Amino acid sequence: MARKTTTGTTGQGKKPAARKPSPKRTAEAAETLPLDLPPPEPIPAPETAREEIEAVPVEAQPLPDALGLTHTSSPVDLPEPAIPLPHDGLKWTTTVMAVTALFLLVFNATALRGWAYELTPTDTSAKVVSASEGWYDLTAGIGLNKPVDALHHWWRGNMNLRFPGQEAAAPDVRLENDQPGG
Amino acid sequence: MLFPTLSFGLFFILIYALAWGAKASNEWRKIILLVASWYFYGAWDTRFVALLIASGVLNWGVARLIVNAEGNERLKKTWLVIGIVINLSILAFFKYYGFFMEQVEHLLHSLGWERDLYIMQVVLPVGISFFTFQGMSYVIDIYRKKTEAASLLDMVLLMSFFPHLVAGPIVRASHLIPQFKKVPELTRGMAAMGLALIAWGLFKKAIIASELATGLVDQTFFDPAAQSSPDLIAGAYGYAVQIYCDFSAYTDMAVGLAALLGYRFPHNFNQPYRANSLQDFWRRWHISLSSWLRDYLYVSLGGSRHGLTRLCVALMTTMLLGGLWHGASWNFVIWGALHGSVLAIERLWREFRPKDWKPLPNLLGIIITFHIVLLGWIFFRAQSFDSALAFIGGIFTAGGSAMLVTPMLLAMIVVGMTFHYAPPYTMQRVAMKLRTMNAVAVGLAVGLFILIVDAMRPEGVAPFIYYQF
Repeated sequence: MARKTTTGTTGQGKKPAARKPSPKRTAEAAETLPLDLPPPEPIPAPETAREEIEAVPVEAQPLPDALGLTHTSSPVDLPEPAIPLPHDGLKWTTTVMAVTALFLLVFNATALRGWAYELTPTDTSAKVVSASEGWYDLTAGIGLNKPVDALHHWWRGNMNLRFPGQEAAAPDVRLENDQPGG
Repeated sequence: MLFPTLSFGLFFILIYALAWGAKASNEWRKIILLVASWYFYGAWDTRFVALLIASGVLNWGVARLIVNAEGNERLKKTWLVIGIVINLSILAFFKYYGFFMEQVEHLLHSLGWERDLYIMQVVLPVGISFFTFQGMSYVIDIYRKKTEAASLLDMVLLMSFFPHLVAGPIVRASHLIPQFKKVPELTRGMAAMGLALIAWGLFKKAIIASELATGLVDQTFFDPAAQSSPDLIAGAYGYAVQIYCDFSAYTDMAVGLAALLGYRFPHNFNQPYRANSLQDFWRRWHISLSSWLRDYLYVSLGGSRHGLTRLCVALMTTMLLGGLWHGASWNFVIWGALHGSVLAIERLWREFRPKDWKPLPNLLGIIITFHIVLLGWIFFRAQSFDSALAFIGGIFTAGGSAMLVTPMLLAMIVVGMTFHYAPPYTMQRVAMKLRTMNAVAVGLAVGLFILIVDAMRPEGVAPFIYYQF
């Protein structure tokens, strides 16, 4: 695929100052792009943001410019990879979110229980509280909450460190609240 | 409903499933997102959902009238002025009525009027400054022919879309409306970057910003006269880090959430504390607001087209109004005046600097700029003008030893500052790695990261600082 090199335009139709590519970025580009590049082709000033986005070749999709951001670029624009990825973004993302949710459900039942107790008291929320308590007891029974508790204790211990001469830290509110029935 | 809470997490999972489940129909997809956005906004105060809808309909209607008046420049301008006046009136009533009446009362008292005025207590709708500015930019862009007229659904969704609704970024019609025209495609890269931004935002907000707020900043600003110099110094630096980690975290999560729904939001931050001038700072801090002020206010005031004096007046006016945009308080005016005057001085310096004088070394520029910003933050955060003066005075005169700042809080200030000097594109590089990985592995990695953040965060989640604006 022939690569177009854009001179770039801002949303205001002005040409940005020419920028010398860093050796590192040039090397990265060389990994992914053919080196027998045609001469740069100017791109007409776009009228809308969408046109601007689409006018920029994929390989030149803007990463944040250290010298100033272009008007329409977004942090989620990434250059295309050297080896094309499968067009399964939705499936991939859904799997990631499902695994994340499942992981947190298993290892962070404390958070679920805390959330359930904060619900407005109703018959339904009472059932949610009961279910979350049951789930908490089950996971705690096999020690799945231990990593979080250990990390929490270690971190709060560090947060409670004081310089010489300072008063000792107050008791950890969250740990007290996390006690059953707290 | 705050982003870093389980309630929001469950809400988002539901909306994600519904939105992508309805991808066969773009219109239904947008309706789902719209209703979800109203529910999200109604979680604060259901009364103001009507205001949000009315504001969207109003701006859509005014834009239609401007389009219909094509060929009659005078009528077009009349509709534009009406649209802007109505938008500003809504903002003025909810945001500045109380402040204005208090000033009138002070004035009357100083003239010998002894009775108190009846001042109605007006509740400030969350995010009103953001969605009002968004609506105004649409009307102005239609007038300037910078964007195409949107359908009512698209316009109301633009203003209500929950990821940016309450604290930005200010996403313009020209950026988002074209994306609403078709069902977006979710790529691995977009999703990976979205997930990375959400996780990173969670870390910055739940740990750094929250710990600094509760352990140091809130106490130093609550009663600065009672604090020691080291605590006040740490409090000032701590607030600089806190406000960055808080606001940029919201933006990161907003951009990430929108990305998971298939939409691209613009940048809002770019390592602002590495700016070597105040002009550079405003290219890196709250970019969507600074570019809004530049395009709709500074340029309209003449910008740089009418000589240096007019330029300085335009800069000063823009920053004063930018300060007032944050809220009705003299401290915000002072904050805006500080930024406006330094921007003007920088401009004059560039113009009149003797040619044989070398520019400031970059590092010195960064240090000076950061401390001007820091001074501004003290006024921005302090409860009152007197409190800000007490804070600044206390830094130099209070003495004493540190009682509030602890080793870990100090470490967090240092860590928060280092974010600004990290290699550029770090987050993009992480996302580029993530997108090539197996989904299960990424899910476990994201889950582990959230688990660690949740274990480390302090009790509760405070609202984002910019919710009040």
